[in-house]
Amino acid sequence: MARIMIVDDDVELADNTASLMRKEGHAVSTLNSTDNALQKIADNKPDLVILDVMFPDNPVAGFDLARLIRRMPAIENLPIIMLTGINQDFPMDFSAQDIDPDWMPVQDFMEKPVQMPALLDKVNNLLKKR
Amino acid sequence: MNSFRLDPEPTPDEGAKRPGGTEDLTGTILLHNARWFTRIRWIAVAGLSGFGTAGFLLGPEFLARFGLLPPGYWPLSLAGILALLNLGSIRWVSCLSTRPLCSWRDVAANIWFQIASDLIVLTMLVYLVGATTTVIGFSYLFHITLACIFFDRRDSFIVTVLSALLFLATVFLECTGLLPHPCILASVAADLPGLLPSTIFAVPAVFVWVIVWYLVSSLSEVVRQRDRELDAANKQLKRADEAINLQMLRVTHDLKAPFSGIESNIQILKQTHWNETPDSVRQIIGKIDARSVALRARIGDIMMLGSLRSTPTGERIVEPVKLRALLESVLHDLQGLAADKRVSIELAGEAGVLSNPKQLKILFANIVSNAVVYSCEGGTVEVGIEEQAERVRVRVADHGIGISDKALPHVFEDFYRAQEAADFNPNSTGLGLAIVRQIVRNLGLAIAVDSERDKGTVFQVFIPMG
Repeated sequence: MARIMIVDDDVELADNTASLMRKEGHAVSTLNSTDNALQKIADNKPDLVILDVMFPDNPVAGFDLARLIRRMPAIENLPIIMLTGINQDFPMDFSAQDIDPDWMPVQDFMEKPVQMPALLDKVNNLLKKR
Repeated sequence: MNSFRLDPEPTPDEGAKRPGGTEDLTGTILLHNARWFTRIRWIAVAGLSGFGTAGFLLGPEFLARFGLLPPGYWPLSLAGILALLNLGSIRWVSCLSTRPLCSWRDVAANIWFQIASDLIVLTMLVYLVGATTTVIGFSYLFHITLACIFFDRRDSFIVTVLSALLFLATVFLECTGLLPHPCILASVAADLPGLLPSTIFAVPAVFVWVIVWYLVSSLSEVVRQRDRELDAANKQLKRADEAINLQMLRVTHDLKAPFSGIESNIQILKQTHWNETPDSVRQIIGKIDARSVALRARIGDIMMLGSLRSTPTGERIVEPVKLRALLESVLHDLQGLAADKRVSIELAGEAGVLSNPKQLKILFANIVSNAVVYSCEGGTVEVGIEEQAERVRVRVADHGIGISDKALPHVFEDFYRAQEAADFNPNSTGLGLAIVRQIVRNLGLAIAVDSERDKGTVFQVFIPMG
């Protein structure tokens, strides 16, 4: 059992993902905005964060939050899986291949809608590495 | 078997898109100019060295036939001074270029040093060749013209005034006897020109330089103004393009989000309530799922096509591409689709090209996935890479349902779906080959399709090597 935090502005998607992960035995909490998300993550110290990219007020809020996590010593090594609803190949031109310590400092990347078995595989792999 | 072919379309000249070098005299552009000056100066060093050496090799008798006196050592001395000054300038420019941010002032100081040292050496040359008895004084015009091209009007005027002062001072000192009167022309070497004839020669010469400065600097200013306008228009276009891309990003996100929600709810249903769901309901849910996936794919294709069409050609990313590795990656992504249809894909050959790997990958993903989708179960798709003269051919052949003669000329049109294709694969978006056509246009490729109903289809993509 691991403590997982989902940060996604799509309440339905976040709740559904949380519900499926709870069925796998994980303790899951959700945040639907990046406001104060950094502090909440630092306070809760989850084992892993599942993070959306685009939020209504900022199309790259997920990237910004991931970079802030890496700069906070208490949570700098927190595994992050990034999810996005936009196309991996075009027009945004980013995908798992673009994971970079400065630009996209996350451990893994998936395109929405995620297939739950694939997401669980990635979560389990990252948790094992901790 | 019928054929259809799309050849590359002429694209706008790449060079026309970039404004000239005087858009803003930033440190980087000035540094480029400073390097260029040092390279050009070696020509002057070579010229002086050649002149001095020729003077020794040809001898006084040979030169006398042309009314010339042997120059002696001064051309070689001047060449040496100029070479030393140039080496110093090169060293200075190298130090400046190693700095992460090169300031405008630092490079400007280097350029003014180069100009000042050039004018001093040139004045020595003018004096030694014959300031009042030859037309060597007009060689100042090279510096005045270059200053007009590279600097603004104020700075080029300063160069013109400096040139004039140095020249007039030389003439004055020579005519008043404060300096000896050297000349390479044997006929005038003995005569010391008076102050008045020298002034009559020198002042109009300076007047000509000022006229040349006025004309060239005015023309340069017009060109510079046009560059500034082009640059402003270019920046405006880039801003508009960024706004379109951001808008497209939001639209893609907002259009796809509801379908992601539907699919996520279906996943919940399948994981939590599937056993208690009757078969008839499961079938309906399956259809909703399939429609949602198809709609999401169609939205993705529409947005991708829009993005490919809005990408300015100037933004092309071109890099070396190993086609075999790229196609292996495409085949890896299509493994599931091929396994579902029990279609095997054979890949042969290897070649490298200079192109855009992301767009090439999208192009081949569409062509190969079509070949798999329209193959008969248990069929084979052959993908071959072959180098030809100055281009590479990638051939994708299937043995599937083929394309009718009537449909073949239309397969690259937006949303076109041949009846036989729609019957065979109801989920087709009709945009896959429109995307292929757009990429073919973007990258300057050519594509040919040969097909025969119920026998199969062969797509051939021709990619220029460089």
